[in-house]
Amino acid sequence: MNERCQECGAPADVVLMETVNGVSQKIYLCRVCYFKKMNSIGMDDLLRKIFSEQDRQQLPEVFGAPDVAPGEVTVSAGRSDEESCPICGTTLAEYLKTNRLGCPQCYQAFAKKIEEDLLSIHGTTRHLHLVAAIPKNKQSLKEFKTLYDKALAAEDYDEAIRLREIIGNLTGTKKPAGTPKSPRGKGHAKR
Amino acid sequence: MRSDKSLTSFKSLLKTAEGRFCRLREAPFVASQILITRDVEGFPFREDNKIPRQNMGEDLKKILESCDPLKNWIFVDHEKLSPNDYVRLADLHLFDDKGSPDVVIEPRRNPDTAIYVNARDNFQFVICGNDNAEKDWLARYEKLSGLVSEIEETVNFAQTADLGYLTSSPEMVGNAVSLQALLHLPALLIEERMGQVVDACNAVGVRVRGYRLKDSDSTGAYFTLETSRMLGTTPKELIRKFSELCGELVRQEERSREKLADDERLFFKIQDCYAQARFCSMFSYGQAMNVVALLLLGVGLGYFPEDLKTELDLLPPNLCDSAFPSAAPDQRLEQRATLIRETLEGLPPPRKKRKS
Repeated sequence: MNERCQECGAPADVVLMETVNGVSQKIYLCRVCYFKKMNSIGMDDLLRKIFSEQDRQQLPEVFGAPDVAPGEVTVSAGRSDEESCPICGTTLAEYLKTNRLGCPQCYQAFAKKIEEDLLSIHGTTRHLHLVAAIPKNKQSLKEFKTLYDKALAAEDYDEAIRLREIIGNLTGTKKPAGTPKSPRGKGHAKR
Repeated sequence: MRSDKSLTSFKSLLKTAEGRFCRLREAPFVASQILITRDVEGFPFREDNKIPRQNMGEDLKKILESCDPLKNWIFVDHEKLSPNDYVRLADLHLFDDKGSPDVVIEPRRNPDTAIYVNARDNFQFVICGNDNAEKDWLARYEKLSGLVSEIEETVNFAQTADLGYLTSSPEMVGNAVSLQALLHLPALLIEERMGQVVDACNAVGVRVRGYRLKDSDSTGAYFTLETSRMLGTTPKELIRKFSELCGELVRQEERSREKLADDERLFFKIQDCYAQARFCSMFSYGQAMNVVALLLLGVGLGYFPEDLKTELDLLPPNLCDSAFPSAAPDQRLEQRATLIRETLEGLPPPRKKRKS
């Protein structure tokens, strides 16, 4: 591609088709400006922009939209880049630069920033319903019961159902006491 | 697990595997890869200035040596590989072409599985294939996750209740399973629809990159698709959706190919490539890969005999810069052109199939 990015003049990497008032036009962008643009619009807008109606029918929305559009993620004000992990010494500045963490403890040391990143990458911040990925020990069971109680108190039934399944799997029982019923009706509890 | 002294087995792996994997086909779906990332509890994710590489690599190697399922596997030190073997292993997807890690491989039974050691993370388990059927993806996932589970009986991997498995990048937490597919999409590229493909894939959590080998740029209409969302989902769900997406892209590419089959401009372009391939005396890697990609498309459209595909299949890994380790840059251009000319010697010019 010989074209230049229309935003910054760097060599273009991506070409987008945009239709304004029925007139289609090409927009040439470099990678940086492309991602800036991607982050500034919502998922529905994005799909409308990139596919004609016919193409949208041909290509299904296979992965579903994330819970939060990338543009909605905000960066916390006043965060200090000098924060560091007490175990491996990786600093927040290093993480921001390389997008790599040094050790498992870093997840706790930079919890706030990582939660923002998880939300923008995966559209969620938890991985609770994958039972296979959960340590099967007493400590985790206790942790899940606390989370389950919290979810019930907050009337977050979807979360409670997922936690119930996990607890059931860990203890070998099917339903803990006080099992909530799904507000969405029969069948929803099974995933 | 034996050390890399047993390179005889390793060499035979290259010989036997060459006929089985990564035969670049004219079909849009070329190859696939499943990666499971795991880090050992209490270990840093990778070596850095504070932790010398040698020590950490040795420690991780010892951990693998203590695992029963890996008794017959061999450890290959990337520094002891010749550039050619390096490129061939990377092309077989049994070696990471970006991170230069050491690998542990099982050379005799099923040379489709490898473990990258101490690259971006402590361990990356990888299995490769070349079929997009959901059943095939699932079978390979079961095989790989079975191996990981067996190893997990001996080794504790870093994980939390909330986030699942922890890795060096928040992109790879949760089930820490990543799916990759290598697609050949020249018709979509010619129709200038790759922008749409990239946008659509990004929107559904799949990254698209040009395919590249070590020290080379991405060219040749080969694209790698890779899932980037894995938190809060199961690997099976991920596989179902990814296989569906790849299948849809394959259908789009085939539709574009049908449209292009009667296109005079494409025929002239392929004729042009034929002339370049037969008579050029210098080729950059980018030019060479573009020529190979268009000739492969020509085979798919019936302009060339079917058996040309076999010759073209073997070219890409031998064209990248690393495949000419001792040549000066200008010699490399000449050697690359010579290799292409010799491979295509005697090839008749492209001909359109007569419509019945």
